[in-house]
Amino acid sequence: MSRLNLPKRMFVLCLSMICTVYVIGFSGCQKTSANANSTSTSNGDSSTTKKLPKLRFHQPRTFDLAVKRVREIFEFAISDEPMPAPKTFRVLEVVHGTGAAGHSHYYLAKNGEEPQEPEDDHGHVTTDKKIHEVNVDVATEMIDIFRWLPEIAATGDMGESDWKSAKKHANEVKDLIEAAAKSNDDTTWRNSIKDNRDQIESAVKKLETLSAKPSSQD
Amino acid sequence: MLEYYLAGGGLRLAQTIIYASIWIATGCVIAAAFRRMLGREKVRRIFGNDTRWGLLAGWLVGMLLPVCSLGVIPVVREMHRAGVHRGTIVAFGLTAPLFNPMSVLYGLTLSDPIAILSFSLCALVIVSVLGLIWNRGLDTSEVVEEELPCPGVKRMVAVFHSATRELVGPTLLFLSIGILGSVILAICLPKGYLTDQVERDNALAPLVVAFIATPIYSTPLLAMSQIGGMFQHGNSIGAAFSLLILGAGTNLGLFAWFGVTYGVRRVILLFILLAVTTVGLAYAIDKPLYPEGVEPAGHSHAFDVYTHPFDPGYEKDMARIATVKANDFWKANEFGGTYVLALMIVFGIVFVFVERMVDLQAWFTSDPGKNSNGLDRDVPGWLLGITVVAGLIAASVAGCYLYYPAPDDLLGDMQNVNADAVLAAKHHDWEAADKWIGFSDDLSRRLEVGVFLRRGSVGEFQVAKARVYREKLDNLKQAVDTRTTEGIEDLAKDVMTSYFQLSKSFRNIDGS
Repeated sequence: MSRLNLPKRMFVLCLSMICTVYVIGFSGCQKTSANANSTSTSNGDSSTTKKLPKLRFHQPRTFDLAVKRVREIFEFAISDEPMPAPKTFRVLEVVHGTGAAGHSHYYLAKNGEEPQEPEDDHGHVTTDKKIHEVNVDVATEMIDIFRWLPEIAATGDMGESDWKSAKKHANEVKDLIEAAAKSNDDTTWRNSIKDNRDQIESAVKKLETLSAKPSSQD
Repeated sequence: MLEYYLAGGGLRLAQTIIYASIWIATGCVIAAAFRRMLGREKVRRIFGNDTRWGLLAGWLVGMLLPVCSLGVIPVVREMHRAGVHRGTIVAFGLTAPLFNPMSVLYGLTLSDPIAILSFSLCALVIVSVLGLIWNRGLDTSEVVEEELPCPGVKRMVAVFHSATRELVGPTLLFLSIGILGSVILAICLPKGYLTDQVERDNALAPLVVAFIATPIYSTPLLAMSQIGGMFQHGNSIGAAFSLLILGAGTNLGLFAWFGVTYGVRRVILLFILLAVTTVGLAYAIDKPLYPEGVEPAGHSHAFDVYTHPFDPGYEKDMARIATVKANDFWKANEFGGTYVLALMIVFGIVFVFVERMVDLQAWFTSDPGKNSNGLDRDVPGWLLGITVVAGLIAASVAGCYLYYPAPDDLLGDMQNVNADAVLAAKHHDWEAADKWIGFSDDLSRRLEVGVFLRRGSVGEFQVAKARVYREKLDNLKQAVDTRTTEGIEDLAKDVMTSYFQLSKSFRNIDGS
């Protein structure tokens, strides 16, 4: 069979490209440094901080609690009271291993205590520990709860038609306030809530009705 | 330390062979059918040698045939012997391990359908680009035509002979290279490698995965389940694409064959072109295909099966644990493939000795004699072709229905598996819990696919319940992975509760 002609220069170029790819690949195997979304202190001398994954510290455990919380936030938003301070969560990040084999475990502090690493026996070497303080303001909390509401509802005993109804109302509010929540400006967010007060009130009332219903499957 | 490498390598070797055996056997049978039933001229015609549709034919046939990146090796060898254009061979060789009807179906329910369709089309783009470049300088040498065996028993024996001999010839060397490449990579990568490196905000994730994935061996179904997992964990879509094309689509054995057949320089060129087009498309689709409403989980388990199975600091009785895990894996994943493969190798060795005494090729092609019983009929080629294609499609459909059973059938098994996972976690039997959690996760996905197959869609309520269940399983798995006893009872209870709700929602599905 005839052979494809490949000049020597092309071959050297191809080989160089392979080496370049592999060098970049090796360098990519190190942890990337990214903007920290929290303040953190470290026991090690690590000069890179890793962006925390989205940990749901402020996720209500049940649908009832979630609806109660959005009602609280909504009532506050339409009032003239000053913005409350963001909730602060203290998180312990325990780093095991180094480089691309490194991974982190996160432990939330409970009730004002310092976050503790539970005892475990899986043989990993702890290479670093960091305490993160994650701040969650009410705007973020509200939009997150509405985003999570269908999933929170799915963890309970709600029937299918009620769940679909809950999802529909949660998405209605989410669509109304999402843009304002991203603006990071309290006044913008509050004005958005006030401008859409009637629709949000209506949606929250329907969610409260669903919350008050006894649990059953359709 | 030696035990660490031997135990880990041994376990990964066993798992790879168990996964691959049925696909390798299938590939050998397909290659034998090409050679002994179709003949070289018809194979060239099927793959469009004298038309402009060769690449498309390679892609289409590749999508239909159930082979993996190891099982495709005997098939591409036969295609090369038949004189199929090398571009078509590349198109087929890279497509066949990626998609088949079962894996596409699985993928459609794990991710947005548009994502899987986009992946398929991107794969078509890649193989087309490679195939077009590879076809430059077309072969002009003549192919030596081989006489087909006589119809009847002789042809059946000839097919069996070719399939088994394939496994004791050069194909075995390439298969070994492919398997060992994957095993060596596994023992070199520490456990947990890339767990945190494939997040969407890691711009280098597609490139890093492309770098790691090439020696990996993965079956189409396994790769698709991992792709789905990456979608659901909010990992980098570009990294998922790199994993699919380079992880599932290639292995070192396949590249070794390309190198031996076409030259080392050409295979380096092939690899570069493949990597560049794959990574380029991975970056192109990374943002547009990112699923909406999914929050990044901060980790990925997609690479757990490709890394060392043990932690370096965990040196307690690894050999025994590796043996137990291999045994459990064999029980869960063995459907006769290893027996078939072993039997084929034995017969292949027997044929090696028989060929020294008897000219089998002459016997295959010798005069069959008169049709004494009057039952033999000549079946026209077009009818045979239609029957084969229809049979393939029917077998794929039947396979899908068997592999993805109806909810009522699957939920019975799932109840037991879920209970085993919960009990094992509560009793701190970490290896068992890890195993049963994996099975539970897999069954929950197959549950959704089974519904999709029979109803055409899965209700969003059922999807939400399945997602919650898998999230609870993931939470439990994290505690099991870190051997954390604190809070494990609550996590196990959450799993049990969410399982009951999942089960209820799927059992009520016909009433909604």
